[in-house]
Amino acid sequence: MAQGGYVGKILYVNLTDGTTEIIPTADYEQWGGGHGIGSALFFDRVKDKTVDGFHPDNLITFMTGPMSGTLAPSASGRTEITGIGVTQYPVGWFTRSNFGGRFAGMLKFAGFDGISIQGKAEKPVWINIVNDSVTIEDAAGLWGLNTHETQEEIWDIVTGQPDVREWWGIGGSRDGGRTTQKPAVVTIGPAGENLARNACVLHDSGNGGGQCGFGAVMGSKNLKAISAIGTGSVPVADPAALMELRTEIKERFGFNPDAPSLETPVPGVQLYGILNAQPGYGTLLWPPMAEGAQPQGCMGCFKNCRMNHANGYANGDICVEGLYWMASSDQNENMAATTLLDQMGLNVYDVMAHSYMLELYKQGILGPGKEIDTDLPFDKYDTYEFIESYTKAIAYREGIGDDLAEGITRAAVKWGRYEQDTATGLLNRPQWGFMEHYDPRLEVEWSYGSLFGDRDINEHGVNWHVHWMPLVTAAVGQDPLVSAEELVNLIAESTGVGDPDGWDYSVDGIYSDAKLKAVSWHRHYSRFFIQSALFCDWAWPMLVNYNAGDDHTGATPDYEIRLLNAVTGKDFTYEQAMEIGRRIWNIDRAIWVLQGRHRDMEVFQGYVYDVPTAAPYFLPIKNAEGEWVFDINVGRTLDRERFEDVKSRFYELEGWDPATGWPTRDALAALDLAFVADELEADGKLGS
Amino acid sequence: MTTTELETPETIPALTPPSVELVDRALRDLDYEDRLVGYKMTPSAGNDRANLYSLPQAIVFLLGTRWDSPMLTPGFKGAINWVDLNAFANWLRDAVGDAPLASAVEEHVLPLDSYYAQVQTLSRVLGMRMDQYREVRGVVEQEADEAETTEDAG
Repeated sequence: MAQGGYVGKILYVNLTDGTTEIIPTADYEQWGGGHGIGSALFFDRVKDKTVDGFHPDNLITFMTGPMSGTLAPSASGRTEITGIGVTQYPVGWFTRSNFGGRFAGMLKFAGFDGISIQGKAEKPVWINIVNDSVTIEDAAGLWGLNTHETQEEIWDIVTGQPDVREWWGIGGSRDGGRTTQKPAVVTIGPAGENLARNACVLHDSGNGGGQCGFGAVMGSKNLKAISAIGTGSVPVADPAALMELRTEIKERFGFNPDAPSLETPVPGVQLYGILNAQPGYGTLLWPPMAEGAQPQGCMGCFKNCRMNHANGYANGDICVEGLYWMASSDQNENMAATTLLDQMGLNVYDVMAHSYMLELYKQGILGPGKEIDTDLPFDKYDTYEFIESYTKAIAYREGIGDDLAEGITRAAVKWGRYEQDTATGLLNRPQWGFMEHYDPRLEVEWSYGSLFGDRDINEHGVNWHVHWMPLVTAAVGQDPLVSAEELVNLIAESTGVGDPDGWDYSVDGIYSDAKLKAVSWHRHYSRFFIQSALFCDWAWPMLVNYNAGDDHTGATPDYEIRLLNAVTGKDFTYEQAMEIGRRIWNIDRAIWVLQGRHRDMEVFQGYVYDVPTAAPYFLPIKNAEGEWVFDINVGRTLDRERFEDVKSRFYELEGWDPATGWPTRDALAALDLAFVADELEADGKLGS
Repeated sequence: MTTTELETPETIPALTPPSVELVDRALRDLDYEDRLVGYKMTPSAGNDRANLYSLPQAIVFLLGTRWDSPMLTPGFKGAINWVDLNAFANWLRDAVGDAPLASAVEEHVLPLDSYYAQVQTLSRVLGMRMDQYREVRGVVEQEADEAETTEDAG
């Protein structure tokens, strides 16, 4: 039944026999939405959790949250994917990815809170959702098309190609509804079809769910695309309260162009936008184009951080995909490379490894007739010819591209380079084969969270403030907007952790009990608010505010809860929501344990312990005199022995067995997860 | 709101014009061992190591593709491209082989307070030097063209 943010139904599709089933959302509402429901569905429906990501039994979900498709600010446009991944090394853990755009809202307008997919079709298919109608269509005519071509083809098939100015009817009756919208399509490109482990899923022009290889998982199921179009709406319990909150958040925390409280001190410094969200922030990756560009954003968002460009390249690309290849002095070529990446359906974070390969080439290890033999034109690295041939080689598994389609980590293992290159940091893959994102020796809630979890966490809510605020202000010769002491106090207060030492990144601080509580908070907050309620990571949590003069109080935790309650009509408290996050984190942990996770596996690659940091890396530290300062933290490593002690204490904090890292029955039962404890016990993997 | 006042030198004295040999040496591609290591700092990807194998590559990395548009401004991606400028000066002297340029960086760039101010001034120093390089190259190319024309005529 549709009420309070949920539209009431989850679609289950069995591709093996072509059947569908409706799962009442109410059965899973206790998990919030998004990731939580995905984890619970996986646990219930995948009996053997050790199956490989390419196995037909792997269940993947595309889930929305209660606020998807509403006007909840920066909390309406994300879709969460869950399932067993294929990129991680050495084990493809149960994992997640996430993308923005309008798919989540459109799926709900069509009447579904999410889709879960299992099995494997005999031949390529796509799923066509038009309001309540679900059909599995032949994808013979789509297989081989790139991601953009596929979507355009599906738009034509579903809409019947009306004039762009026309309304068009859905369904056979007048009551079926009419719309001006195109279907929202999530698709794979040639990389996914060819089971490249670094294949992403793509929606519209540049919304990619990249990490973990879900594009290849879809390819393994012979599933080319999912299309959704609907003319329904999302029930909001208190629409007036939601609109008031939206206005209030924009006025209190957004940039006011008429009377700005904070502007960049140096004209044109786009990076300043990550502090004040000033107009032009949308050009974070691409500078204003002489021929023009226009803002573009996810459904319901007021920030519109993306851009569409008049040159037609890199539309909607806002994140790391914009950094794919920047060797050309012609910006159009750099942007074209990002477009090609999107069209092939590749995850930039893995295939950015061309820079690692260039280092091997320069060392004489890689090249024609070399130890790693390839005819890719590394002698023309700064030309579009290079990046085009490199990208297509991976997507179509041509030449050395066949190795690279296994992911750079597995390629390095095959080449005999992995141990040595991760020991020196030449290949900076700190955990599970993922590229280093933020420094694992310093910003440890990121690295600990990634290692104790399933992937690079990719959660920026703390990082904006502890790292970027002091870095950007220092780079432009400005004092920090907030002192180190005020900053850690603000974060301690807004997170609810209470102890500012949780954000002490000093040599000792990164091993403290307070730090572990901060890491724990981060895991639980993200699992619920970011990945299940689907607040956008680039906006939430709002721990500190720089747009209200001297009042730096952030929106967190008050506004997340008020938004949730306005939409759902429930009476959530922040503490209850955090407990749901803890519950999701623990069911995930149990799945990883069933997959083979053990304490002994949770170690970083060698460079994290042995190679000191070399570049300035601003973070707050409490110095020997007990004063809070921002330090550049050069020359730092992680200490092996102290980190092993961190593991023991973190496991205890979470209610896991310090000897194994496995959850205990008591801890699981306290989260109403006794059924999870039963399965662990039956498998001989219950912590004691 | 505060505006940063950049304390940069008003004038930078012209460097001694380089020889043809210096320009050729300075613009060559370097071996792996002679590379300069920088870091591209971006919100979406953190710190990403960048190996720079030539002076032109280092200039593009530090200053973007337009001489009048250095770090962080339109014409450049939203990143802080960071190089230890002490190491950069040493690299100019030892690997690239342009000691006068290295000395100018040490004298006019390194004493400045903020990285932004340093890169702004570095842009002027490098721009001036590249003009000199182009001038030398232009003379050489013009002489070569004239020689070729004479040869053709003969």
